[in-house]
Amino acid sequence: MLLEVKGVVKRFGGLVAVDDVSFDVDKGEIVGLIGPNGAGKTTLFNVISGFYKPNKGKVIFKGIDVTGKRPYEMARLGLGRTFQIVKPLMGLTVAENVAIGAMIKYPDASEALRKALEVLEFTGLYDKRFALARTLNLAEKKRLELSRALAMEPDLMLLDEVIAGLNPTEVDMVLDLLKEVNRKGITILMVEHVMRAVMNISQRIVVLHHGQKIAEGTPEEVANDPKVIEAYLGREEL
Amino acid sequence: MLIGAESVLSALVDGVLIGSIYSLIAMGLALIWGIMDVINFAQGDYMMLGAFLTYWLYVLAGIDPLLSIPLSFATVFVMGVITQKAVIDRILDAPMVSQITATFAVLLIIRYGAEVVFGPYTRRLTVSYLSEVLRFGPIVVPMNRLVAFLVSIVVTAVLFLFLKMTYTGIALRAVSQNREAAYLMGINVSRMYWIAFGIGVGISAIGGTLLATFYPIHPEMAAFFTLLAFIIVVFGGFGSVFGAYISGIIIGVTESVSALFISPTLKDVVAFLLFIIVILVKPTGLFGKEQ
Amino acid sequence: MNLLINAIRKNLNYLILVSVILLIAPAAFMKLNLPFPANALFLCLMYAIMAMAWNLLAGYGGQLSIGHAVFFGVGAYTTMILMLYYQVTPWVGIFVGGFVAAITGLALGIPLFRLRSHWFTLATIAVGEIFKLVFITWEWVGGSRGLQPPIAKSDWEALYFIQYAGPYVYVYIALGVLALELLVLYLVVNSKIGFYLQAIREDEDAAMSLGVNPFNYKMVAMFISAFFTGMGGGLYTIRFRFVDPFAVFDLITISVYITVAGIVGGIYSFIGPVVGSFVFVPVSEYVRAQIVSRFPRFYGLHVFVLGVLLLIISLIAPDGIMGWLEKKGVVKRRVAIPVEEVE
Repeated sequence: MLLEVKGVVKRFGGLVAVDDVSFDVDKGEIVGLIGPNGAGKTTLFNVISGFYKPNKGKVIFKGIDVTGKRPYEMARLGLGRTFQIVKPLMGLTVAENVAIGAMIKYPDASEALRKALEVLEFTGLYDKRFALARTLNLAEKKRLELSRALAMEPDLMLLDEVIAGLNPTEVDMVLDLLKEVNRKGITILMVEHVMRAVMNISQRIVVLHHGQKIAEGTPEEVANDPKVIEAYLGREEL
Repeated sequence: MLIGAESVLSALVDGVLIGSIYSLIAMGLALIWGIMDVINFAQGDYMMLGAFLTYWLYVLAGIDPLLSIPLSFATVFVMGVITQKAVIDRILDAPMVSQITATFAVLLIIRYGAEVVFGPYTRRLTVSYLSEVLRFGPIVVPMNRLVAFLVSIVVTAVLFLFLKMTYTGIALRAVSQNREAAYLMGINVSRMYWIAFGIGVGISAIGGTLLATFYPIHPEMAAFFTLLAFIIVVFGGFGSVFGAYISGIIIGVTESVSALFISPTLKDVVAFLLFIIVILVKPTGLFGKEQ
Repeated sequence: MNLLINAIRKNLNYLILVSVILLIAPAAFMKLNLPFPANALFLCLMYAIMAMAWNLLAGYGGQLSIGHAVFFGVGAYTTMILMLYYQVTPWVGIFVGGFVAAITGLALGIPLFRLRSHWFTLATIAVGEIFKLVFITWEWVGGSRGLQPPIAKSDWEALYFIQYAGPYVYVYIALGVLALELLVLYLVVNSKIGFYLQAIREDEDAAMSLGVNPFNYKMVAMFISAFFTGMGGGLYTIRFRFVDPFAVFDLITISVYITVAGIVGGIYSFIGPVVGSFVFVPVSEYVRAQIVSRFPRFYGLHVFVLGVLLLIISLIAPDGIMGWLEKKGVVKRRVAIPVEEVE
């Protein structure tokens, strides 16, 4: 088991954002984490990646108890992530952004840069390599974050809404890219509330609602689960 | 050294009175910060302008310091609006480093501009009726400080009513809670900004006017008061205006009591250390809400 | 290392030109008996050394300190005390001064780096004032009277205590320190440390997600920054042979000058702070020496001018002279490119 989330609870004041959620991610899988807005998906991501400490519960990564480890420690253990609200390093070039991700495995700056250009060719941002990150459009910024996480050569990637806000062509491009990434042996846990995209690509889906896990299973099982339908009904298109 | 109960009591009273002036300077800082999310390094220098204005009005035109309060507020309010339009407005979305250097540049320009104009001299303002001393049993209360204290209460009350009762005041508070939401509700945010900045520095100028009646007036006098204002704002909770009033008085008392026990030079060191300890230990202050 | 060699090869002509001018200038000033320009050159170099050091923390790491006088003062006092109380030659003392300043930086970094943006800046100002007040009351280091070194009585002692007439010799020493610093900083900013610092400046959360421990890298930057700023203090000690807390811990003429030099030159450019020092220090020194000293009534004019300069730069060209030149296409923005792509 690559990642085990065990009974995680995260409260903000009186608000319970994540309420006793447990699930596993196996090596090599693509798992989708879905739920309506405010379901606690991003909060759960922040707990797994070390940005928040859970009030209760455990996160186990590669067999190590990583509960409460800091984000940079998680990164060094092999966890790469993107952010829902993109956080490119605006004043640096695309190549520099990605090279900084690569430095975790390639501490020598020129080697990291070489690795970065390799990744950029793979993700299709090579032509933009010397552009400042702040000059990219949203789709490119999201691809940049993905490239940066990829350059870390992680075992597990947490992708927070890398598809939201993209047009259909861009969505297909990103999905193809993710399949390719997965084929290279990188496990993916992705948050998305555009369900169609996740259904396509995930082997397994976990559904959160009001901070609780209400369903888990293959895309078909989840899509036909009455609890899931109820949670989404009248809120989002399926 | 033996310190009698009477001198401690006097120090307490003195601390409350001087603290109320610190509060005025700090409240302006808290107001600007709460509403605009800008830290005004030059806050104390607007106070210094208020002090000089009061001095010259008295010396040149014989205007009583108490009467110069509205003039001091109005003049510095206008200067604040100019600063807001010319400088602050342009840096609201700039990188952090530019925000800091621009407000710091305003400090240098006002402080040393005043020094070039007024000369590097210390001046004192003596008004006969304000120099009298009241005695309450063993406690001695200088008239000028008592007046300053009373005025600070009035100013705070007016500010309180303004923020709670008037449309502009409520709009200001709305902007401080959520800039975008306020904008969507039809509040003219950029208008609120110059009003906030004007009022913020204007209140500090009133502090300067009051201070001028008993404190040496010098172009560089703001350095220590600005730092104190920061201590007070942090202590009172970031952006909490009335938290700033209470904590100003607490700081005033702490300072005057500790001056009894510690040497005057080290007294300042204590204040600086206090500042660093407070921002480290209690980053949301005593009265502030969690961010 | 490859990057360094490449950079040197690419800019060889300029480097030779600048080096030759800088090496000849002090000797020429001495021959022509022109102490004022030689002294201005010394000050430019001293501030260039400190502004470069400051910029590792402020420009690369995004941690804007207006309290670097602390490290300058500690370096200056350490060099002086070693000389005066322990007869240690400043040839060694300057380095020890840098090291003591660097350790001071680490000790201060522990609390200060818990603060972000404005609060960090404010706290550095407060720390600067604390150091000044403590040194004023500290009798062992001369209190408010300050300290003076022993006077050299022979040629040998003059060499040992580095005591020579006029500013000329000191210009060469400052040049040596600056060259050493540029070398070290160039290697640092083009290594993982430099890139990680920039990541921290741009977005601390993103940096952490990429495996960067912000605190550790800020401490590394602080160590190096304080070290060279402390060496600047040592240069001050040997050049002016007098240290007192008012001069070496001064908020305006040390901390703010360093900041302004950096901002004017351009904090997002490697060499910007040197450019800034060479542009700003002569102007400020001219105003101070020619106007303020002659007409003490106008004390403060030099700082006022500095404030106007800082404001204009902050509003109009926040990337400083170098950033402006890049925008105009006069110089190329330095971007990281792999070695093999450099022709």
